[in-house]
Order: sequence, then C-alpha cells, then structure tokens
Amino acid sequence: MKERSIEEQVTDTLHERASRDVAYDLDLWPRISSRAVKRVGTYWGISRLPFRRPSLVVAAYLAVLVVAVVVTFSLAPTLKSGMQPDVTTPVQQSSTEVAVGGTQQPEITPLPSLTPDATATQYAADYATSREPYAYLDRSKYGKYIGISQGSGGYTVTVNWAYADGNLMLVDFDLAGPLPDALSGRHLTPQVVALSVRNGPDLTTPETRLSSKAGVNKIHYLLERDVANKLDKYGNQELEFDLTIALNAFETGPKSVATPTDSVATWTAGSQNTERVKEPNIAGPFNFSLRVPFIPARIARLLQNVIVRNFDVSLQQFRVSPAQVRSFVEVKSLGQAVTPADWEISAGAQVNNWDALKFRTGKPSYGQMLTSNLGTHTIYDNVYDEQGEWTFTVRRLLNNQTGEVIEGPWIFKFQVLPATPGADQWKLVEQSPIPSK
Amino acid sequence: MREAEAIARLKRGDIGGLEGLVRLYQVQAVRAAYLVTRDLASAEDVVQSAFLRAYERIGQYDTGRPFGPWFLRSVINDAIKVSTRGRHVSLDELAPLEGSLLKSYSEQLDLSSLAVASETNDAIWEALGKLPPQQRAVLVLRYYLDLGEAEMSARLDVPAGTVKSRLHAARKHLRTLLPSWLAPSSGEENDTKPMSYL
Repeated sequence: MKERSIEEQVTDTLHERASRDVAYDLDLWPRISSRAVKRVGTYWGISRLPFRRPSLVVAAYLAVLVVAVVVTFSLAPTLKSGMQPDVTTPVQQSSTEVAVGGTQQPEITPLPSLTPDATATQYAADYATSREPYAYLDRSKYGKYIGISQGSGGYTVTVNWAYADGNLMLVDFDLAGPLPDALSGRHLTPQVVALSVRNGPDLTTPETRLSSKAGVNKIHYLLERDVANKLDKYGNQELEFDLTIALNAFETGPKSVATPTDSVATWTAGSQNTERVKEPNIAGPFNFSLRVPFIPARIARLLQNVIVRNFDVSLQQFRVSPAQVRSFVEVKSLGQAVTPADWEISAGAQVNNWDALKFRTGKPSYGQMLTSNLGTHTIYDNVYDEQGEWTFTVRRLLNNQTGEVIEGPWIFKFQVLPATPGADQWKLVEQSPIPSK
Repeated sequence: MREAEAIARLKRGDIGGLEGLVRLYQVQAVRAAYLVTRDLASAEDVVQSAFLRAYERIGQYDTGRPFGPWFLRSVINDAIKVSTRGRHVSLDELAPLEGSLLKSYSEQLDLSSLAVASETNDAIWEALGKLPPQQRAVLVLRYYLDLGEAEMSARLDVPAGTVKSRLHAARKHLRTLLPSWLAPSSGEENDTKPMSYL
C-alpha cells in the first residue's frame, strides 16, 4: 500500500487543526460591526468588546471528553389524567430541605448547546436511521405551517413549519435549486446566519443543529435550537423570531449533507459540515420573519441533593415540554482532592412504572455534560400532558481515571400534580435512601 | 451576497457590504491566521482588524482583482507580525460572551474523534509550532491555502525566488523537527529530496 507522503500529512494536519479549532460557523460580524461603528465616530477610541475566550472553549471540550453522563428515563402507562398546558407557566418550587446537605438555591447554568458523549453518538446513529425527527409532535396540533419561500442565486428556501416551546425551537425547511450531483465532489449546506427572537434573545449558532434528508429535487432540513432556560419569561403567546439562512458550498467529505435522490429517505444529524471550505457562500441570505405559538415548559426547580463521599449530587431541574423532557444534575466537589470531571454519573428517571431506556418513540435518551459538573439529559417523547409519580435515580458514580465505583442508588421521588393556575405542579414525595457513605 | 455586490456596497460607504465580505471570508481567514499564530484569540483579532482596515481602505482596492487574495495577504502578514512579537492581547479579551464555553454538536463529535487522532498529526502539529512564524506562514500558504509559488509571491509581496528559498528552508527546518519515526533519516536531507519528503 502506498504510504502517504509527509507533504500530504502536513496538508491534512493543517486542515484538520483549522477545522477542529476554528468553527466553520464562526461569526465575527457582531464584533466587527461594533468596532466599525465605533471607528466611524472615534477612530482611535476602540473599546474592549465581548469576546470568546478560546482557552475556556478548549477547557470545556476537554471536560466533555472526560466526563460522560449516562442518564436513562422511562415511563409507564399508568397515568390517569392529563394536565392542561394552556394554563401552565414555569413554576418555581421553593427549595426542599433534604436530610443531608440542603442546597443553596443554585442557579441553573444557561444551556448553550447540544454537546455529545457516548450516548449522544448512539442518539446520532439512531437519528440517522429514524423516521422524521420529532415525529411524535403532531404538527396539526403543535407549531404552525408557514409555507413561505425566498429565492436567491437560483435557489429557493421554503419554510414549511416552525415550532417553539420552552426546551426547543424547530424549523422545517426545504432547499431547491441546482443541487450538485452526489459524485461531483461538491455539496451544499445551509448555514444559520441569524436566529433571534424579536425583542428577545439572540439564538444564533453555534448551538443550532441541522439535520437533512434527501427529497425529490430538493433537500429537507430540520433546524433544532436548544432554548432551555432561554425563553422562560414567555408564557402562552405567539413568539416572533427572525431566521436568516445562507447557502454554502463544501468540498465533499465523510459527513457531507444529503444529496437528493428518489430513494434516500433517512435523516442525517449534525449536517454542519466542517470539511474544507472552497466556495463559502453561493446564495442567500434568505431572510424569514416567523410567528409561531409558544408553549412554555413545565419547570420544576427541585434543588434536591445527596452527599456521597466528597460529592454533592443535586437534581436541579426538570423541564417538560411537548418536544422534550429535560433534567439537570449538578455534581459539586466538597473536597479539593475530588475532581468532578473525572467522574461519570449513571442515572435515570421513571414515571410510575413505565419502562425503558427508549420511550414510546423508540428514541434513545440523550445525556450530555454542559460543563464539567453540570449534566443534562433529554428524552424524546411528548409527555407534556402526563402526571404521576416521577422518580429520579442516581445509580452510581464511576471514576474514569481510577475505575473506582461508588454504588448507589440514590433516589428522588416527587409527584407531578394536575395543572392548577398559580399552583406548584411538582411536589416532593420522598427521598430515599439517604446515602450514609 | 456576492463578493462584487458586497464590494460595490462597501465602496458606496454601506457597511452592509462589509458584512457580506465578513460572511464570505471570515472562516478561511481565521483558520489561516490561526495556523500561523496558533492562538485563536490572536487569529480572530487579526482578522477583525484586517476587515476593519479593508473597510477603511476599500477605496484603494482594485475591483478588477479578486478580494480574497488581497485580503488574505493582509491577514497572513498581520498574523506573522503578531506571532513574532509574542503573545497578542486581544482587544476583546476582558469582556465576557454568553455561551462561549460550548460549541455545536457536530463540532463536539469531531473533537471526540480527534481525541484519538493519529500520532502523526500531533507530531506534525507540534513541529509546526516550533518553526518561526515566517516559515510557518509559508507552509500555511502552500499546504493549507494550496497556493503555488507564484501566488505565494504575490500574496507575500516578495520575489518568487525568495518564496522558493523560504519554502525550501521551511520544509527542511520542519523535517529536522519531526520525530525520527516520521521524518526520513538525516542522510535523505538534501536538496534533491522529493517534495513528498518535504
């Protein structure tokens, strides 16, 4: 077999490092525009502007690599009556004293992105072979059909449907135009240039994920934006947001986006191609102003914790919306000798006796670390109208460095109450067993 | 927005034209600058400054020539200067930015795979870091931006012969910095060495 020359390896190294360390959806424009505006008025009066600290980015990457959360949820079909989503708003329950180590009303860290671990990889694989993502969301009931098209450079982008709740925003759109042949060596991919709520937060990338599926003479896309803790001030109302998409061309690569054929019908997750950019922009921007019904998440700020050895493990929050069920667990070190980032959390949740890693939708649950000590877990099912006894279990802690295992389980139980305007919807039933380790 | 349209708008004083150029070239520019500076903050700041300078000097730009090479030449030269004078302090460094700690799903997957990347790439990356910035820039132009010697000459604004000698010196120096299991033996280090051995 012919060995690759060092010249080729240098080329590969440079491209690999550049792609890895500099995001393809990098956006300098906000900073440049601010500085440009300042320069117009006072050329030498450039002030210090918001800036991303890359060293922290790298640190977070490393933290994600060494920490994995494996969280499993399951449900049981024993629920009797549903809640009334139209009267619910995020409810904050007062901090619950627990037998050991009552918590200090910690604030939930904002959730900026989807970050993977081993479970995420599993999810991505499943996603690629699944039917339409979020098929369990009845589109006739949730979200809004849009049907608006924009053209640019011979291409047409049509927004078909959009959806927003307290956990997630979804935008379904098609791209049609002179799409490249699969063997041409070029692929197209849309880039979300801007996504912002009118008079609200800017939700632009890098937290946006795009999945694609080939259609006939067009490509279908589903944009997903994690908005947990971003839109909690909104109630049942219409949400207005602006979306700008650009169309870029990429050299072919192993993660290339779908190319339209009559036969391909699977969805491919994470189509944000980081291959070499040869022709960055070929059409757009395509600008859309959208207005969709917003469904606030039912939020339980539980703040229940257990102390195990030198760890404080706290279940901080549940967020239930039609698109997802999210939970957040924080692990704090109580001693200098303990490094939370070295530990993996195995945990899960149940509603009554419902079974499973996979919910009714068949989608695996999805665990991830947001920071070195804050993990979140997502299940893909619509249990927004369900109530019952929910159980959250931390099964064990595993040290990835030493192999040490601290066995649980440590269990939190609480009752999901029928929705009543102005009342708490979550009630702690018991916490057992309280660990004595 | 197409490049020609963006430049036309910029020449009319419309800052929207600058946005179009930023969208078109920011990734390529930051990546190229990063490969020279090996510091993302410095690279981003270099590119920001280069765009602002382009904004101010767009009147000097000849619309008959492509914008990219003109702009990237400025970026590479600035990256060399920044690297040469040591650690660069970003203008933006003191201010926070929400959500900066985490990147996109797909990027994280890439990082996961790169965590087990070959020792070869790591060794080459480490060796590149030991080169003087000028030599590193030459290799970036040749192997990342895929420029020929004539283009490099234009990009660096130096004679073609200078480019040739710089490239040769950079390759030779790099080879001495590679580990023995990757670099050819010392006996092969001569001017007649095929390109594939640097």
